[in-house]
Amino acid sequence: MAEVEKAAEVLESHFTMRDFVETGKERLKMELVVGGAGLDHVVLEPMTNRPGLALTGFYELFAWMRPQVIGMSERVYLESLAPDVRLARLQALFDHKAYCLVFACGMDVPPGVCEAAEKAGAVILKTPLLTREFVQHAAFVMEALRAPTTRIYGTTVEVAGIGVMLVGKAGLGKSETALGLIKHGNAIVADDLTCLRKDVTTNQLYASASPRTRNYMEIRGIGIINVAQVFGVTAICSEKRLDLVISLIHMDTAKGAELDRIGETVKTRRILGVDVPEIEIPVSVGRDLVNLVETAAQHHKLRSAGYDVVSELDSRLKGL
Amino acid sequence: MSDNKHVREIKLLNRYGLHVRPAGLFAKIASRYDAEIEVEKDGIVVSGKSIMALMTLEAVSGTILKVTATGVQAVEALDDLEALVARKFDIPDEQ
Repeated sequence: MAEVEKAAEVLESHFTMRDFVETGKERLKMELVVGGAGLDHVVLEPMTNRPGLALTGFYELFAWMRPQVIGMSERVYLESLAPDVRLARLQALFDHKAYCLVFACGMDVPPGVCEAAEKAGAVILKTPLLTREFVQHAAFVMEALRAPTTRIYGTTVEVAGIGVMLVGKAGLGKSETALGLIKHGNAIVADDLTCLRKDVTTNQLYASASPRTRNYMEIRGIGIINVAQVFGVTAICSEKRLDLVISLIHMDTAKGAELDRIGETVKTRRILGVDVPEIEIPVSVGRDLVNLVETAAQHHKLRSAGYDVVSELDSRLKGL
Repeated sequence: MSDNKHVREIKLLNRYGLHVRPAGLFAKIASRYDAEIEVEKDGIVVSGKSIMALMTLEAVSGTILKVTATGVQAVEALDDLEALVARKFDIPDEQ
């Protein structure tokens, strides 16, 4: 299992203004007015700030570490000022370490601000979006950018509505099991290599395939297949919350003897700091893995809903 | 887990890098040996026995892959893989 743990290292999670602009360009309809060196600035806090108070000259606790959004109220306030004061107040934001101004609602950048930004090495962006729209979408874009991610050697399938990742040594039949699950009406998320991202607000993991190999699978003996073409689009799922890890192990390994035969203890596997329930299924000739994985998924679903089969049977045996 | 671990840096010489066919050949050769094979590029480590995983590395021509083999046949596996890459995967139009 060394390969799994080794791959489970956190990749870089901090991002720069360049990442923000490139990733969010479409969704946030951003136009880059001034870029340059400012694009290399790290977005220190993944949220936006409305610099209303700072524009009045009050800089206590000014959240310079976030991109600053100039919305309608800032605009109306700035327009109430004399042009030289207006420029001075905007310039003062850069003096107080602001590294990005976003002009929302399609407003024009007041004269002189671009030059000041260039001098300060700051970024100026424009968007036709309303301020509240921009703020909302920007939060999503930044959250996705800062989300810790990792890649794990495993095949992920949506089984009975829950996200199941199959892990285990090469050749144990992960992809073949996935294929059988697809035939049973389930959908594949990723074959052989699963990309995981952590949603930091809910502390849950989301699985997806690498964009390079999405929809494709390799089946030993057949070769590479396009799942969407062979089985139809219902056989694929682009992203799924990871609920359960199923570890396939050789029946003949010593581990087989130590298996929890009742299924009372739930092991977990820690991925990106999240504990995901994990069960081990021994593989041997004649064991129907597809059926086992489906049953495990449904059993897990029941258990997560609070159903406790062990106590139920126990009560019956004790005559309670 | 065997301690017979060997690491080798292998440079891709063929024209298009690790695309479908080279990845397929790499995984095929790697799977022949009793050894765990890991391939690393830019800090991303994947199994050398998985075609899908190898393709996600986006390794183009000139990339240096760090290949780690662990197990009884680690050296043999690395020798074979190194030779395969050096022969540009025996693909005629990529020589």
